[in-house]
Amino acid sequence: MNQPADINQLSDEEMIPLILDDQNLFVIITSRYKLKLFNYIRRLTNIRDEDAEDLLQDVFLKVYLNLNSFNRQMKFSSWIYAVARNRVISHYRKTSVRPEGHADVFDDQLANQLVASFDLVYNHDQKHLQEIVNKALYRLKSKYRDVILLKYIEEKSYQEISDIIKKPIGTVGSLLNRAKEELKKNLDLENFL
Amino acid sequence: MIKEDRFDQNIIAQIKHRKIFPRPQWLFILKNWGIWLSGALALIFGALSSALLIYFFQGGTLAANRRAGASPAELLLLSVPFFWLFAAMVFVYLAYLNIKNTSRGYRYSPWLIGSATLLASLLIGLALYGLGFSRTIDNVLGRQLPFYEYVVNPRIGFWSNAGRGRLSGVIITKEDVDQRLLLIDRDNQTWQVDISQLRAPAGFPAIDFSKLNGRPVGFWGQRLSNNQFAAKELIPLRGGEGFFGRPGRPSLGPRNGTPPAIR
Repeated sequence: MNQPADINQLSDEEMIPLILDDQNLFVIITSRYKLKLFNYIRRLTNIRDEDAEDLLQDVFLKVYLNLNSFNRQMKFSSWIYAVARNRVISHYRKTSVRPEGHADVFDDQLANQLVASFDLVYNHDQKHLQEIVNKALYRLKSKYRDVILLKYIEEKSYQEISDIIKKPIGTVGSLLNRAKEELKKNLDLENFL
Repeated sequence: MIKEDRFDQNIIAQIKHRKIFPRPQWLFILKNWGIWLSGALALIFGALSSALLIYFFQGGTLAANRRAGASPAELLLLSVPFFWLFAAMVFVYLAYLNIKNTSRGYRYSPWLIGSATLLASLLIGLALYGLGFSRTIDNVLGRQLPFYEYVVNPRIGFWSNAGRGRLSGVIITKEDVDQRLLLIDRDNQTWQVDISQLRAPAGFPAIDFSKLNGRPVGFWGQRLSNNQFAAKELIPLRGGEGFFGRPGRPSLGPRNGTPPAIR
């Protein structure tokens, strides 16, 4: 099989036909996304690392199985995030538990990043920032937490979020606005502002 | 934290061990076509239901129903074709669901998809009504469907109570000499209807009975005996031709042979 020398330089979309010819190349996709998706799953759920890893494994097997269903009108990263999100939702449907964000997945850097995105001023001890932001996020409804995570932590565009959560862009915008309002209220409760 | 070193190889090993292969592309194309096809079918059925909805809305007999003593609930039931309204709503909703579940359906607002589906169903329904499909479908259903006169076309059920002055059926012949006509009701009973006191429905200067031969009509009047009825008002009923022409019933009209004798 003819493979370009710099195969690692190829985009995800360009990789798909090559993976369909040689399953070993799927390792490039797993190596590109495993950490991102692992963290995403952990932020969406409250399961242990081992269980998150099992879910992630299922996600990749599902991605491989359905490679031919990838719609080239969207980004591959949006598609793989959508598969991960659906896997998390079906996991919680099976166990009849509501997905709840993990309480300790936001480190200081992410918490600062989120706070900066909202133009909020934090006048208290920095070491409590992570805890406060986690608590405020934890109180959000899952649909709001979902879009906040995708926008401010995963840094996805509106179009990408729309492709991941399967809602129109307009709905993404209003969900984000409401999520921000709720989050600000929650941060206010934590004596943040 | 994830065990990075083994994870990638573990995935590949599982793919090989469990003999997982990507599903063929044609399967996804087929699935997508299936969704579009069932959406289109739902839209067509929605349009047909809308065509019948328009057909039965057109044939409203509100004032006559009120004069004939219909209760408010009956008036509502007789004025709104609920069966077709419900059918149209179900099919339009199914079409909406299918379009929403196509690969790009989520990108459009549910309101946009919903309104477009509803509008398309009404416009196609209007065209089908104009082409005469409503009457054809009503005839087919009238011939086949059990409880047609109660569920699909309750006006026939309502106008089939001679004891209360409501008679419906199909005119089979008119005897001009003594102002009588013969009518077969839904129970296959033949009635001799006196039309000497009959007045035309509002908006009709005169009644042309030659055009009504073989077509369902209702009469508001008074029962004189078990097979005689004095008609005061003609009620033009919509639909029901197939129902009154069900197999096993006497042939209708002089064109189809000699009319049956009065019992």
